[in-house]
Amino acid sequence: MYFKGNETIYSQIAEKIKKKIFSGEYPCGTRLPAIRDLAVACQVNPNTVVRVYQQLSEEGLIYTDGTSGKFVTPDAALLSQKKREYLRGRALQFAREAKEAGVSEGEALTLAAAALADVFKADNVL
Amino acid sequence: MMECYSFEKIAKNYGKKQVLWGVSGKFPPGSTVGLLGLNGAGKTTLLNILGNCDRDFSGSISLRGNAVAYMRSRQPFPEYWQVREVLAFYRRFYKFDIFLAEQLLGEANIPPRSRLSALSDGMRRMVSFICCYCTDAQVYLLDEPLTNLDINLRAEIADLLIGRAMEDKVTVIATHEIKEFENLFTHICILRGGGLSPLADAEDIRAEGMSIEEYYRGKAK
Repeated sequence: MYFKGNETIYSQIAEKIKKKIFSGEYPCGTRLPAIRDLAVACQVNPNTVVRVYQQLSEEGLIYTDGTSGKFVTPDAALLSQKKREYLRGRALQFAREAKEAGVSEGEALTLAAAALADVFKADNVL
Repeated sequence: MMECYSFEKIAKNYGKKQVLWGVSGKFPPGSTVGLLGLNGAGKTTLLNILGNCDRDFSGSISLRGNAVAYMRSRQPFPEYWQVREVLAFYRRFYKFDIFLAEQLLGEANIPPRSRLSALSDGMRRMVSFICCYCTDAQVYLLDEPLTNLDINLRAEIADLLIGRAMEDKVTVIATHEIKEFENLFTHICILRGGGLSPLADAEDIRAEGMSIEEYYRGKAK
């Protein structure tokens, strides 16, 4: 796995796992990879993975079941709420960038709508 | 190991040339420390002192003797020795897991009956690494462990180090190959001008928007 050198490794791995949870690749109640396995797969220090799981636990996305491992939360409602929060954050980022670039609100909306149409249309064709 | 591994005011000179000017460090248990520095900065000199290979210095060290396993940049064993004789040497003097060592040699395709003189440079270094890795110690010192190794052996070493990084031990890796190890390091310290920079948390460096390499370049000059 490739990491950006100037961003914390733990946040990059956390982001990857979050996306997998939100996309349903890791559905509710799935067992997450063991710390050591994930560390070897990503070629990072296992202490970093510990920190990733800690962060995701604090956000309520995963829970620890005694000694048997880490699991994605079974609470589907919470998950969809978190997903919305996450996407809203990304949308906010786009909005800020648009404002910084000096684009008007209407223009930004048009751009976003066009992008959405492109992506969702591509999905429908498949 | 519960306490930090520490050394204080290590000074060393070669004749009139002062190489280390009172170097101090404190490494927490569970840390994997990247000891970085330009050629001639004194990395090997410091590791030789910490690794019981050089007794001619001043200063103090919290753990010595069998508590420390050291992979030197060059092995001191006679060329005509067989690999298994090197293992026997380790078993004689250290708490040594010979079964693991034999298994790792097999995985690296190094025959135990091969003479050191018949091995490639990379394979010899792999033998050194395996001997260090299979020694039961609190502190592991590795001097340029990847030099001359092919990608398979590099990956093998990285995986072995990852497998053990959760234990309450200290691993110090002196290296030029920052890229290979940067995601494995928990901490970084830089040797420059005979002094050691304060221990920096690797993720803290990245949180400030700097890569380990950029941090190193800024500090090494």
